[in-house]
Amino acid sequence: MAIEFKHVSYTYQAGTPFEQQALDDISVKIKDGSFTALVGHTGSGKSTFIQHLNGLLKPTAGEIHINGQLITPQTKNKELDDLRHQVGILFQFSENQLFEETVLKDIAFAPKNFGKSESEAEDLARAKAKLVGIDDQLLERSPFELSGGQMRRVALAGILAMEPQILVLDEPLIGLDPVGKRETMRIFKQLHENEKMTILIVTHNMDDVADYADQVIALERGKLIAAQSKQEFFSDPQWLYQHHLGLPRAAEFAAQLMQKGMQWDGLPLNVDELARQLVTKLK
Amino acid sequence: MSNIILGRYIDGGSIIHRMDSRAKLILSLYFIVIVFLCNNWQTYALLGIFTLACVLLSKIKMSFFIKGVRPLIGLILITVLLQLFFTSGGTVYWQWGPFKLTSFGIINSIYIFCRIVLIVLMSTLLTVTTTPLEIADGLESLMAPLRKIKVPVDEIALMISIALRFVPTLMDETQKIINAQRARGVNFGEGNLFKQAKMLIPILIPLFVNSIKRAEDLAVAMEARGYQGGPNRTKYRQQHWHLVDTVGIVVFLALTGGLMLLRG
Repeated sequence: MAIEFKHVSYTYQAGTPFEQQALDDISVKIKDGSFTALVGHTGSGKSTFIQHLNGLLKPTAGEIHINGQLITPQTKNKELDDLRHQVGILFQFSENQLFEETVLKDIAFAPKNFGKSESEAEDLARAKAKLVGIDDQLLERSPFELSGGQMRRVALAGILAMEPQILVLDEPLIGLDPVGKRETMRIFKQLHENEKMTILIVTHNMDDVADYADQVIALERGKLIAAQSKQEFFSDPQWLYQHHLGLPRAAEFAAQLMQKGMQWDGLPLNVDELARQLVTKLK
Repeated sequence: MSNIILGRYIDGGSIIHRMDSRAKLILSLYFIVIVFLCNNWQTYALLGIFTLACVLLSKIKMSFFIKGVRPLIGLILITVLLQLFFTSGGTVYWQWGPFKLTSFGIINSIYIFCRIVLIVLMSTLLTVTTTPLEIADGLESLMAPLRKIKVPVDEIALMISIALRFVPTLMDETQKIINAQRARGVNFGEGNLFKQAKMLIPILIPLFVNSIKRAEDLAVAMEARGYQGGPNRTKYRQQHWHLVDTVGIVVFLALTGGLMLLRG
């Protein structure tokens, strides 16, 4: 079992007038090698949730098991180094974390921190830069001369250079153009399929959930409201609307046709599936 | 970072919350002046009771104010100890080289302690009951006479309100950058001083870059909305002087009178 949360709660600034409970009694499991989508409204606790995955935050109650490591409220920061190494988190607007003089140095920053030698780290950096599609000639440039999309890729390469087993992505597509979005998702899919990485992605885009994820975790006001396969998750449009979550566009269209009397063998979640079912129905 | 409470506003509907920020600013400054009028226990008792009454009036938990004093404890202790061991006069109880414990020293250090605590309490009261924007407005209005000597009051006021507006944004951003770099294996607060200073680079560079970018964007957005600077802009947030504010001033004047009477 890769990741398991057992009755995890987290309260910001406990014991002050600014106290705020962000996570409330969350119990959930995420399997090794799965591609999980984390969805929920703004302020539902998604960002707090993912910061628990590598010990940036420790639960104020409950316990977390990640790859055999146990995190409780009493866990010391020193014990978390190893975990940080195994779990790579790409934060929102990750291009903001770049700081080195050259792209290569920035990508090599994390492996160097985790004890790789200078040359090992640079080799890793080159390999990961290639993986995310950064041209060799960009490696000696300053990261601040790149476009937003390129900077995002540099940041991603910087996380991948840690060679994590679990990759956590906090809304990695915000602000990218359609081509950039497709390209980035393709990279994640490759990492999942070729390198057998466990991937957890925070997103608001239900199309991406339908296209890439195999299970969905949904949060609402710090509480877990769903943890199931995407087919189950999208099976009840009514429930989704009630919780201010949406359907993928293809499913939305199918749901509207359903109201007009159309019958589906399970709501189609993407355009291909929609087209296939439509063709058979219309024959 | 979350332990710093100076400069944080706590919502509440108390009489002190509703006072005009100009009145509160003047009175907070004035309070620092009258603290120095105190020179015997009666005056300190009066001022202590008065401060306590103000704190109670604000309807904000006492524990919160105590937390506000806590970060300053080092400073208070040093000042008090210096007073305690380096004041001469009165009966000498103990002496060792330049250090001596005298009756004057003891009394003085108690007074200094009271003075600092009173001032910190009052300043905390100002910031927890007044939003930063109100403080900026109050400052602008109080600085208005300086226009006569060519001080760019409007620009300064705009700078202050923009600066205050971005304090929480920058704090958030700093926290995010810290998290991102921690996730890349930086262990803050470890190693020797030089090492720790070096760890600040991955935080400060992105923070500077983003701040400059943000400033450029903001400037363009302001110009696009017709901002040209200068005193010809109107004010949307109006300030109103109420009866409470006049009463506040009168109470402070009465307090000053009382202190003068009790002064030894």
